[in-house]
Amino acid sequence: MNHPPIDNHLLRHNQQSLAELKTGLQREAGTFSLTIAVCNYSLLRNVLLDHLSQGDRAQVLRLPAHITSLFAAIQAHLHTATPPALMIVGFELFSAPELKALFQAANLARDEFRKQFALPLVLWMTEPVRQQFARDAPDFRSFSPSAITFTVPKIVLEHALRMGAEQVFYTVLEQGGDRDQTPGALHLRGCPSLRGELDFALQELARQGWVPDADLAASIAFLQGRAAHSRLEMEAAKAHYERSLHHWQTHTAPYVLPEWVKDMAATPLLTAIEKQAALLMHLGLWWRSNAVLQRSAYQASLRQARRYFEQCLEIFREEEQRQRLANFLHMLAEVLQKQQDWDALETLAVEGISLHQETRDRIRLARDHGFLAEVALVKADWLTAKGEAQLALKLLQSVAAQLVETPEDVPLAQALAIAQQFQQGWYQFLLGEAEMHLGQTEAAIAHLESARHATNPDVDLTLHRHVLRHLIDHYFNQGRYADAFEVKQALRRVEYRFNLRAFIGAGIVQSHPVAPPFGRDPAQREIAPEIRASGRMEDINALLRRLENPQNQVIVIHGPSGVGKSSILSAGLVPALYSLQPGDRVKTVPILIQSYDRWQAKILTALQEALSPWLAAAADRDQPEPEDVRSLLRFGVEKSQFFVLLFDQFEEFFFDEPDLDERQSFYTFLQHCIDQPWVKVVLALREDYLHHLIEAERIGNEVSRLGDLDLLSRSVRYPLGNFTPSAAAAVIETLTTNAQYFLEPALIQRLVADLAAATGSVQPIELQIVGAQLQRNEISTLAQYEALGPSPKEKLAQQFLTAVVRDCGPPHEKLAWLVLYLLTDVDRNRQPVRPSKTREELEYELLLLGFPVEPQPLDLVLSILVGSGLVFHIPQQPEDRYQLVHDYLVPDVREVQAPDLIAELDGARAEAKAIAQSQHRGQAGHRRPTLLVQGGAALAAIGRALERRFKQ
Amino acid sequence: MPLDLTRFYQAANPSRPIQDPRYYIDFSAVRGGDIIQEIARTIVRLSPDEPTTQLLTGHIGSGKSTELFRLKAQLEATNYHVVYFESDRDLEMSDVEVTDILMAIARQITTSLEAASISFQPGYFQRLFKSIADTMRMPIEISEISLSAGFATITTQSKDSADLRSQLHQYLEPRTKNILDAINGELLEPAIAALKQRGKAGLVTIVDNLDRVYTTRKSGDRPQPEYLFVDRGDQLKRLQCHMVYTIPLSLAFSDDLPILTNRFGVSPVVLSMVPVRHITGECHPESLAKLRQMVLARAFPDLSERDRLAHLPEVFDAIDSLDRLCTISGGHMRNLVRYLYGCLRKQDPPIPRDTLERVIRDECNDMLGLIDDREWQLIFSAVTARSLQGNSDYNELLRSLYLYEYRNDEGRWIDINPVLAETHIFRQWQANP
Repeated sequence: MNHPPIDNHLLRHNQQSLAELKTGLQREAGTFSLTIAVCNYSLLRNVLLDHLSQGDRAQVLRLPAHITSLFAAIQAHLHTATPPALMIVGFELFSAPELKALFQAANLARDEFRKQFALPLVLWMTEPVRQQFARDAPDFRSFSPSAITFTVPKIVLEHALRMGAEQVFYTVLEQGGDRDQTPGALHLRGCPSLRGELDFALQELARQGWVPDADLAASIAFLQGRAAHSRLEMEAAKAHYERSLHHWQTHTAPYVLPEWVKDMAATPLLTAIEKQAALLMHLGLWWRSNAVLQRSAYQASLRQARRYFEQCLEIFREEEQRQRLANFLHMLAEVLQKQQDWDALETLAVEGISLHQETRDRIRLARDHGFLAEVALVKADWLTAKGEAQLALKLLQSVAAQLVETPEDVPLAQALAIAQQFQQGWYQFLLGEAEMHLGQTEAAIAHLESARHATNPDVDLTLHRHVLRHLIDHYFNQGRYADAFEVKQALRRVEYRFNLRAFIGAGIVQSHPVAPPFGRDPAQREIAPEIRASGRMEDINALLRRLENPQNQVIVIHGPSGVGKSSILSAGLVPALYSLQPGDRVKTVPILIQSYDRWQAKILTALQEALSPWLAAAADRDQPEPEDVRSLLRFGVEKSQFFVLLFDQFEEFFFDEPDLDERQSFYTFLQHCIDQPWVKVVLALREDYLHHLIEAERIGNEVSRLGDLDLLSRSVRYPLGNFTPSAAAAVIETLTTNAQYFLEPALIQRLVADLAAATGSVQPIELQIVGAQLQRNEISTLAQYEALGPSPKEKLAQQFLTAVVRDCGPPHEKLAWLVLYLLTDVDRNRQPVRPSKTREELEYELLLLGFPVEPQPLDLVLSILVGSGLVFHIPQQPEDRYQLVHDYLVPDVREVQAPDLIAELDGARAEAKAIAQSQHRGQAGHRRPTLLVQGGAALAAIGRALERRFKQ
Repeated sequence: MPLDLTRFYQAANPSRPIQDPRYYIDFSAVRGGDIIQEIARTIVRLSPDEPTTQLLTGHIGSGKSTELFRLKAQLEATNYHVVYFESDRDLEMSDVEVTDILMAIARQITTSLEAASISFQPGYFQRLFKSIADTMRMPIEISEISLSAGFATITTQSKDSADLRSQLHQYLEPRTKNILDAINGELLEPAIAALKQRGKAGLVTIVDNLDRVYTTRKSGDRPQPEYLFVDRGDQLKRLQCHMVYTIPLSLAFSDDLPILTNRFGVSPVVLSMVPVRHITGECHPESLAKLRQMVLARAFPDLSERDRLAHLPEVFDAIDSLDRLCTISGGHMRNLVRYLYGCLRKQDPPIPRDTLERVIRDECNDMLGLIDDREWQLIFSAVTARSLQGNSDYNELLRSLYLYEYRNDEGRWIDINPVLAETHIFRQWQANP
């Protein structure tokens, strides 16, 4: 579209600036110069660029959306063309952080621009972009004189503003209907750059002391209201909306277009009554947002929202705008649903059915039936509920089927996508619930499972949790405890993700695989939300900083048992390392080793996996493939990888490798890794084993040329301790505040005092268990806490255990207690210990107790105990083992057992232990007793106990 | 000789550094006390035997190198062995670690001393070179008689290849302490002893252009200058010979200045701007005369100073306009050139006064949009106090050129950029502070 009269007008208006710019281009042809041109309006800029590029004076480079740097973008352009001058546009399309990076990089490379580009460069910017340029690239800017500014005459600005506002009114009423009117979508309406230009026009006109007429002022108030609303500046938004509404209710004369724009294609102008409707709708939206933001005024806000929506719909009815009525009807329906005004909702849904049949809008029709299904469910009319929900689903299916035929119908496809995201899961849930009441259990479960997967916690968290809770109950009531537990775990994960749970309870935290978004490494994982809830993020960040600092080659993490070393490594540090890119490295490859038999093979496998693409490429080119660990590491470092080898529970290494030769080969390997650039080592071990590292250090220094390894120096060690009481209080406060679970300060004080009572410091695991149970009991005041009894902390820990056992289902509770019991013991000093046992050992001992079990219940109990975090599952050759997570739980477990069970089993085990100790002295205090010896002894003892039982 | 307009236009292009010596003007007479004299005095008089570390900074292009050459000559005249080098030739300025600086210094010192027939016993560095050669599979020249070749291989390879540099950082950084000990014990100590035996007064190393390290972020998001000179300054200070480092100007106004000063035991010495006014606010005729020459030299490079003034009417409508240009620049040379260029773009010379005023107005508008209320308050308080008291917010104001700093024998003071001094908002504040 060309409008020469306006173009000429604009060019004349900017005559002087144009002459200045042209002089620069002319005089500096063939040499580098930098000019900044400021222009806030795309219309004007296009006119100017057209004019300037006439006669081959200069070329225009529109910056692509993805550029590595300004320098590279220009270089790429000049590769194909040698214009006399280059004008660069498109900066305003980048986000502020992108621009910052772009400008800072240009500032650093400023001398390169000067040296490489022998032509005048003109950077076209809007005023905010220019300001950012001046801030982020001050040295580069100093290569150019002050910016040359181009402006638009006032009369054009004023008209643009008016048309811009009309455009927004029109879009609001015509496009999408209720679907687009979520507060988050407000600021996305229309073209963002258009919105920016409206702002410029407003500011520019204000600077010139211009006062808009009443109509335009009211339109501007509407725009400002939306802008404030999208920023959640609620009071300001409401004031703007109300002012605008008042105007359109009292001034109804239509706006007449001026002569000079008559021929231009323009948005149809809306009447005052239509603008009223738009504002009533926005005020309704405002009150709906307010209901969410101000929970205490929830019902009152809903009443207001309902009033405004009713008035808005009333206008459409009176004006006989059936289409708009159909498009916005559900705004009111949603409010009625939230108010639980079922009769009103039913009436409206019935009206909706005839409206949406008339407008052939099957997606909204489905929703009408969905509302009717919900009403029927409330009224216990299960058959109707089922029918309506089925109808709703069928309607969506028919739209999906039609879209296969007409994929070009983009608006319909978008509408369906929204319905699938927001409503389909709800229909399935309603259907499932109705079927459940009708006794059609299998179908019900199937539909509820569909609902579970169709509801997205990111979209509707409340509905998603609602579905999961119902599922858990249904599964549990039907004795499907494993299924119930699986859904419960899923619910828990969602709740961590959305910060609804402050504490993680027991257990080592594992990271969750992330669904790999496009282009991302599938091996990548994210830091488990539970780690954030563990109060250890600071430690993880400190460890990351150490690892990216070239001054550190090795870190020794040490601390008492149960302080969370393993969790920090596996769920925090390892996932975080995947996204670390220190220096010139393209990727960090963490390799976590948790047990030490065949450690070399484990590292080898991990390396081969991480390097597989390059190894394959090398094989394709018939290059020799690196085969051993050392050459693989070298190979990877050359491919710009950064390897971090993490050795967890390193104390186990000293038991698995009692042979000095074996240890020596490990230490030599360790020294080799430490000497390699971009290979770093993290050792995590229990504090009381630190001295074993002296041996590692000595051997390492013997094999290296420089001999400067210092494993126990403060710069190498990273102590990980229990929380001090004040740190624990801070952790509790952060965790609970993040989860919006607010504890009375007096309660935090008491809790910390109780937790620190025994040793003066707080064990992280105990804090987590007690905290988790505290939140489960919804205790937030000291009075509630004290009401638990004489020792509330112990009571909470007991409840925590009981809750896990209960998850195993009533028929398995006794078995669960016994398994827990079998995983505890006390040593000679009556100190609690946690023997690790294979499944077979557990089965034997249960048999010994006269409690023979089938494999299935034991599977169930073990998986729930492991899943809840109470019990470790240690994968091991030849058989996996199970171990209680922490000593702390031992007394709790043992105290709830029937005394006769304890006596009976203890007798057998005391005997077993006596034999074990006579054969195997000097290794007391192991995390894990040497298996073979003690295993054999235990079997013998069990055999004897069995004999005794038979004799009885 | 008529004015060559095209050449004048290009000589006024602010993106181009001065390459033509005819445009060069010596400002040292108006810049205050002789900084170089002070540095030399510290070494020669105050601490001939105890090693010193001194820091020099200033705006890029403020003439540091020229001054350091003067220093070298002065010290050599007092019988010191001086090793001067431009560090940006040995270092990749976007990615510098302390060990890079140490290796570059070791390279320059060993090269210089070996040239003077002072050789070193192989020891730690022999082993280090061998170990690097093994680990990195990098061919390093290891010679029994010359250490400098080994250092040269490492610094050159490190500058040329990003990959090798990153690996070398990984290898050398954890060993910083041992490397420092070895430089001191195996290089500097025997070198100084040998020099003294030959009747020399001692060894001085001048590291120029280290102020050009980029402000890229190091680990922990720390800007590179702060990382090198503040966080690890104590290591740079530990070298046991007289050291003179050039450091980035931002550090002189950084929040970390006290820590920096503490680490090095001295504050950085700053080469400042040309004071167009005295500390009292009156015009500084000597400075003005030199700035006039700076403008006119670009129009008439081949004329004498006096003849240039005679041809002034070809460039400006009046000498007042030229003086206005010089004063509004506040003694900031790049800005002086920018304003001149702005005038030439609007109008061919002779430049009338109102064109110059339009250029000043444009610049003023450019800057006004950038300054928010908080920054104005900071500017007001800095102008009132006339000094910057350890507030890092001021650093931004200096870097953005809202404030200028002057140092000469009258003292040290802050003034507002003269362009901003003429704004309504500043005038209003002046009337009612």
